[in-house]
Amino acid sequence: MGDGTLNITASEQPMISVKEVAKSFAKKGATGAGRKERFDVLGGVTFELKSGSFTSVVGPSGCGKTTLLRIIDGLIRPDSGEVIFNGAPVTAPPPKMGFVFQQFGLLPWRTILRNVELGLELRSVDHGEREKVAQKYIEVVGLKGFEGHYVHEVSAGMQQRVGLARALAIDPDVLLMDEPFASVDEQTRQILQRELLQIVKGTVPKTTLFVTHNVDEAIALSDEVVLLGGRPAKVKEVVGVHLPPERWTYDIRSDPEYRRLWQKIWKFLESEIMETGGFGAVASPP
Amino acid sequence: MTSHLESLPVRVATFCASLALFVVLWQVAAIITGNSLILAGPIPVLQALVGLIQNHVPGGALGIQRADSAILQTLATIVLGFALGCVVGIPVGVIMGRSKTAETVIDPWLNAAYSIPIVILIPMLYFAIGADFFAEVFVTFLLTVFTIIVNTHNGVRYVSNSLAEVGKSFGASETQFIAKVILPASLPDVIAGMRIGMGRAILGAVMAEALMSGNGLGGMMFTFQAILNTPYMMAVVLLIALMGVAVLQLPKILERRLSKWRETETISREVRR
Repeated sequence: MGDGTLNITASEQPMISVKEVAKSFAKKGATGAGRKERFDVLGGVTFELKSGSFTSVVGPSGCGKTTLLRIIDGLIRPDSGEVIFNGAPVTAPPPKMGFVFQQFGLLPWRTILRNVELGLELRSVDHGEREKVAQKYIEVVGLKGFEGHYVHEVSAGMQQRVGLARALAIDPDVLLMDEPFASVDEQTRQILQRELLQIVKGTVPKTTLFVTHNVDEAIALSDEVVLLGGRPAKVKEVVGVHLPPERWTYDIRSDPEYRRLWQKIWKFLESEIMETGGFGAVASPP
Repeated sequence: MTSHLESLPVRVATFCASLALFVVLWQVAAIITGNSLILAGPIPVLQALVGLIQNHVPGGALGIQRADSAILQTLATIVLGFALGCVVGIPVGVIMGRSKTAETVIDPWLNAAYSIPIVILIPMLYFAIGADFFAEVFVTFLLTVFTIIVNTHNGVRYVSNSLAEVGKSFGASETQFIAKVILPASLPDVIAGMRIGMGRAILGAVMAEALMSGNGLGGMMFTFQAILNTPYMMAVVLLIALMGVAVLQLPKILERRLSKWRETETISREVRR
């Protein structure tokens, strides 16, 4: 009984809490003698990432989503506020976070196998073990048979699978994904989305934080969607997505709940773009 | 799809054609000059080359070093000076690329040292450290090292920010990061520096030999010039050129060894054609 209570408290504790995170950057080409003008990107962002959930952060282009994700991974330091991961504040990239980059960030001089091994190699895992683990995740992302290929020999979609396998190979508690499918074509994107869900909700369960400006993608993948907006950006709303978990088994795009959420999030984005005068994210309904 | 320029017989034929053109132009230039003391034609130079190899030297240069030992000595000077240049130059370049402080401190000195004609320092070095083999290696090193530093620094500085982020995110320490990301990523620049550096190493070795010990191919070249034996002098120049062609293969081989992955990327070369 005592164990049960413990488990409940543990699962109710968020995996990541982002608390009042603010960040500003120096304006490029700022005039004025000596004094640098700064512009605020994030103005006190607060939200929680529940253990086991798939959460998307959605906002118009240039609203600071990527900056936020980098702060969460400890790649950039916030000006104020903090990120708590597994109960401890993040000051440098934690070993239990796996990052998937928009531009893949693969090492072109390495084969696919050696790319997937990177994280383990940096942790001094011995050769045989790391090859075994890498091989396992190469299979998970469906790249068996391509281990010996160099990165430029495979398609963009396959390259991002390598990026995903590399992040999974370090056995992270949380996956951070920065618009991972933004550089692949639409068909591949949909296939990759489905496969990603099958992996993080099935074969290799992972808590996932996913950044995108694509409304369809956010709804199709997430349990919760965090809407980021304003200048500087804040969390405007957290929207729950009440669609069945095994979404890869049927066409969710015809579900009325999907249509409702799409309208809601798209309206939010539209008003954000109008308000801030940006001409960034323009999507079309599916 | 391999381009026709990649097949071996075609490459050999192309080279032979350019060699023939060179010999013809050389002969024409010799005829126009009309003075074999200023410019000897290909035939007397080839005769002198055969003489050098058979150790038949002209009367004025009796007691000169044998050609084979001169070649070996010059080769040793080049290789040692170049190797030292790499051993010192690559780490310094990496440190400059990684540390803003190091860059600020070293950069002006590097630019200054890079622009001095090192050859002018040879008499100074002659009196400071003597005229032995190591003094010549030192001159060769000086001519090599700055080029390698400048190129390595440049390569390291422009390693893409996204790769740097990948290293950091996956928890690479600074040494791991340099070994596994920075060096492989900046390899093309490092190799480019090596190729230029190797050319300068040959220049350094030959000049040092000519102006310091008088040994090696550089010494030989100067001796023949002093006795106004142009065919023999030009034969030595030819030997130096051949040696240059040979040693410049070294960075190429190194590049091929270290960047196997580029081989499958040659398609881009065909697009360029």
